[in-house]
Amino acid sequence: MTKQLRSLASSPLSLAAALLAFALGIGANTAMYSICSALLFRPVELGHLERLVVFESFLRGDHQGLFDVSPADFTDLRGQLQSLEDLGFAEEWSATITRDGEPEQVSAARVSANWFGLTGAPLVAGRAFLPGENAPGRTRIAVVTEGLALRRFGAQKTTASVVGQQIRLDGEDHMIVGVLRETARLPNFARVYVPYSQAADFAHQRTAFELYTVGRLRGGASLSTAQAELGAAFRRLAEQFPASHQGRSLVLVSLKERIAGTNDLAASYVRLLLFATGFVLLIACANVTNLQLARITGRAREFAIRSALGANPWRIAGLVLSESLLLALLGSLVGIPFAMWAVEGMKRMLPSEIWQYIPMWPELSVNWTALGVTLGLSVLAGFATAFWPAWQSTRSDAQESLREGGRSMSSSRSRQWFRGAMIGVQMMLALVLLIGAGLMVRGTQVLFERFAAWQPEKVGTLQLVLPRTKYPDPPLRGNFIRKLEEQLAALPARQDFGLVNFIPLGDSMSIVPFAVEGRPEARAAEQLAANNLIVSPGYFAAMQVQLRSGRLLASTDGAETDPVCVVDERFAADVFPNEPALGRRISPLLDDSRPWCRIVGIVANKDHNPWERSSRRTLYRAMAQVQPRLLSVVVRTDAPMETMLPALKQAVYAVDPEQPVRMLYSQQDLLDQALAGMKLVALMMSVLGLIALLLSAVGIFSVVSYVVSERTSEIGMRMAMGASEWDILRLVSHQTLLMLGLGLALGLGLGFALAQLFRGLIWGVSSRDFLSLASVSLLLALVGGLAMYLPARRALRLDPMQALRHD
Amino acid sequence: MIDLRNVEKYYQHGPAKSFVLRRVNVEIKEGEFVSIMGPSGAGKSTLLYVIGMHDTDWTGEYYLMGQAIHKLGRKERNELYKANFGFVFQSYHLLDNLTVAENIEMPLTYRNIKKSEREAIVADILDRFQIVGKKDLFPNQLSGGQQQLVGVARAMVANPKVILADEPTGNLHSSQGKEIMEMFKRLNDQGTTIIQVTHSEANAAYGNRVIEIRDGWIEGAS
Repeated sequence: MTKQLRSLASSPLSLAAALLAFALGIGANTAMYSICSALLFRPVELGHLERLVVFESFLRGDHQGLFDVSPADFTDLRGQLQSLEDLGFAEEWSATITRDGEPEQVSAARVSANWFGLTGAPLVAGRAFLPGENAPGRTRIAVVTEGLALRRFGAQKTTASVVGQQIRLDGEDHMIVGVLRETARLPNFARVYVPYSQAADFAHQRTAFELYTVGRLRGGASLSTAQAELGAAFRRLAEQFPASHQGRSLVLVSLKERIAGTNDLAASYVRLLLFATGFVLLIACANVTNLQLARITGRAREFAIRSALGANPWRIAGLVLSESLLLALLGSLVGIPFAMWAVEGMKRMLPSEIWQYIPMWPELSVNWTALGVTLGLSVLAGFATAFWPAWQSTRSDAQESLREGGRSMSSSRSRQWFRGAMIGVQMMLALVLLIGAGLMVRGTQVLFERFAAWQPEKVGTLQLVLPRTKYPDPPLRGNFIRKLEEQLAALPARQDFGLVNFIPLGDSMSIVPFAVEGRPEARAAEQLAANNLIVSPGYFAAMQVQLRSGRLLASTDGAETDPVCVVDERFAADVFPNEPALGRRISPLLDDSRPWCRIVGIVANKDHNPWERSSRRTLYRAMAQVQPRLLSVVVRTDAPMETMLPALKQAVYAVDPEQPVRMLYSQQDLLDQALAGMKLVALMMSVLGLIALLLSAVGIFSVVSYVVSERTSEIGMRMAMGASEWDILRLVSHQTLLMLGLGLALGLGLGFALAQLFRGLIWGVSSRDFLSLASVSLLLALVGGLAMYLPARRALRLDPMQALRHD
Repeated sequence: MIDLRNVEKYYQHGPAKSFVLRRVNVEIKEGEFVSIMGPSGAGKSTLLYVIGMHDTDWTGEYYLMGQAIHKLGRKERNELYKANFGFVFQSYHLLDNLTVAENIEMPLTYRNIKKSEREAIVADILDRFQIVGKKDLFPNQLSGGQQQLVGVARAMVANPKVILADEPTGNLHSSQGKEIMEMFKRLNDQGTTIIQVTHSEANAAYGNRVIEIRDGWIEGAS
């Protein structure tokens, strides 16, 4: 070990370059692994995660969701699925917390009593629900998450002391019996859990499709067996209850995969970053391989002496290998602090509004598993970078190397080409990364520009959900809405305001299928759907939605008048391509009632969601005629948001002091939050691209430096033969230049191919953007050229006499 | 042809100067065969490299066929060098990955000569040096003497007026050395000026003048 260390330290520059390459390559991969672990590998902290499965529902092939099993089906299936050792359920709920602080609305769940045992969700204090606590009348107990406990009862310092406290949920007191770890929130990132009140008719509710059902595979049972079992059992149910179950099917999927969102955009971004960091490690390895190759070429004499003293070729190869491994381990030691710093940086950069949907984000760190991965990567990188140099070391000619003033003037062609190839590979990978980073940055820019015309910084928002217990019927909700509008009208400094169910650019939206009067109702899979906005008349002015024909919704459109609606141009063109839309009646298919509403106006298209490539067809219904429970306020103002947002909240409290509010932001904040993930990905890609650029530059610099040093005698001889500076420059750089050019050409091709592959991730980017981004290849060529020129310049300054005496 | 006046070369070691050449005055006429001799470290090779314009870090005056070399820039010196000099090294310095013919051709590639012309010149020189049969061999397939013969052929290929040779037989055994010296003698007889650095009295005997150098000083000319 000491000898290897001494050997490495004998070329300090080479050692520093190799350590830098390994530290960045291994460090970036360790950091990325930690993030993947939080997002994909272990997305939620449940003891039995690997064996948990969740029921996913389909209706005539259309995905219906996870909250879609009826209580009666659950009861029947539980008795039939032998592959599952336990089965439980949850129902989602939005709980209003009052007392002990500001009213607050949180995601909550009503769960089966076995929920925590079934999933292995860890409690930090108190107990889980007990069998029998699903019985009606025994459900006024709750388990809350650690974060919520500390936020609501923070003064009591410890989570254990929260157990036994009362928490007021939807106006009813519940005793907290347990505190759940923040990282075990399931389903729907719930922060409050109460026992599901299992009424006597639970086992007979066949059509209330609302339960989120989770099962735990029996030890040794496979997912496919369980799936087959469930398929057969559910087919029997469908035959038994054709009226409600025809066309329905249930599928079992791994809970882990479902949470990690294997097919989601975020997961795709993480995979993209994983590839990118993998590329950085490859560049680092190519770099170190070249450095190692240079070192062994320079040590030909040492190897010859060892060989003359009896060392066999494999011993010498072992020496090279052990040095590479040591180098990789040292590199990873330097890389670990870099990884820790990178992870902390990323944790700080993602706003809490986003990471609240990533249960493991607060726990994100370079943990033991990540360190294990680092160690594995180091060994792998050590072997990868030692393989070719070690092989080459076994092939050196001892007699030739030992001969006085050895006549050989440069390393073999194969080594020269190998070094060049490594340069080409580095350039190619670096260019792909830089193009990827550029496309991500451009994509993010396009998304921000798309909403710039709204002046989102001038629109304040707020959202609330009227509790079912307090506002059970439409007249009560209508009354609340009226009073709220009066309060908002009295706000100083507001220009326009409106009410809407879902905030544009917010975290959710409602897409509903609809029927057209006079046309046969389509099958579920063929039904047209539209963005379902329920708005007050002021919404159009507040959100600057332009009228194209007909009229806008008016204050005269009330509960007593005929239902009316407004559609956008896309809706009119899609649904009524050859006939006027005005005057036609349509009906959102929300429930069995068919509330037909007449189209009275057509407005301009409007983007409502930054993640959609183009505006979605939108239907605007009159709030006074629908009275939803979900209400959002949008206010356009010139006043600063710091004064407007508190005023909005006060307007709500003036109507109902116990009504919690959420999403108190400017629309610019909402846009920033919506695009925070993409911004972070763009930033990380850019950082990785720059690291790749740096490593490639160091790689070229070290290779050309080495070429100059190795060929000093040859340079001297060529100068003595009459070679000009230009000839020498060409001599030391032509191969590197060739490989650099080849690498760039391949990188452009690969970058283009990857851009096509990932075009689903980076929309808003056209082929023209790709071409302009291809100009990064110029940047890379410039940096590469400079990295090559600096050491090559040394060759130009050599005196032939010095050069020829070099060896 | 070559006129060095008061040429000095030294290395600065802190405040002290360590001289390699001291007040060197040398004149070499066209067609001479001059041997520079002296003990190791005396400055023989340095003087050769100064004459060959490969060493630029010296003071004094140097005239080559009347042209003041000491006033020229690197580029102009290089052009003059290419037009007038050929160089032979003690350890041959042939490129392992080039054939004999390619090694010989190399200086021509630095002189803007067309490929077809270069091939003709190389063919001619291979014939002159009687190594046509070896033209496709690589240096490591040749003996030391044969390699140095190729080195001399390479030095002659651009038809220089002067050949500078730094201990050309230093790595050869006596019969091979003799062969090379006879080659130099023939070239000199055909009009090429030869300047060689040598330790060998026998080799010096092929020339018509010896420049003795000791601790950087020219001792005298015989």
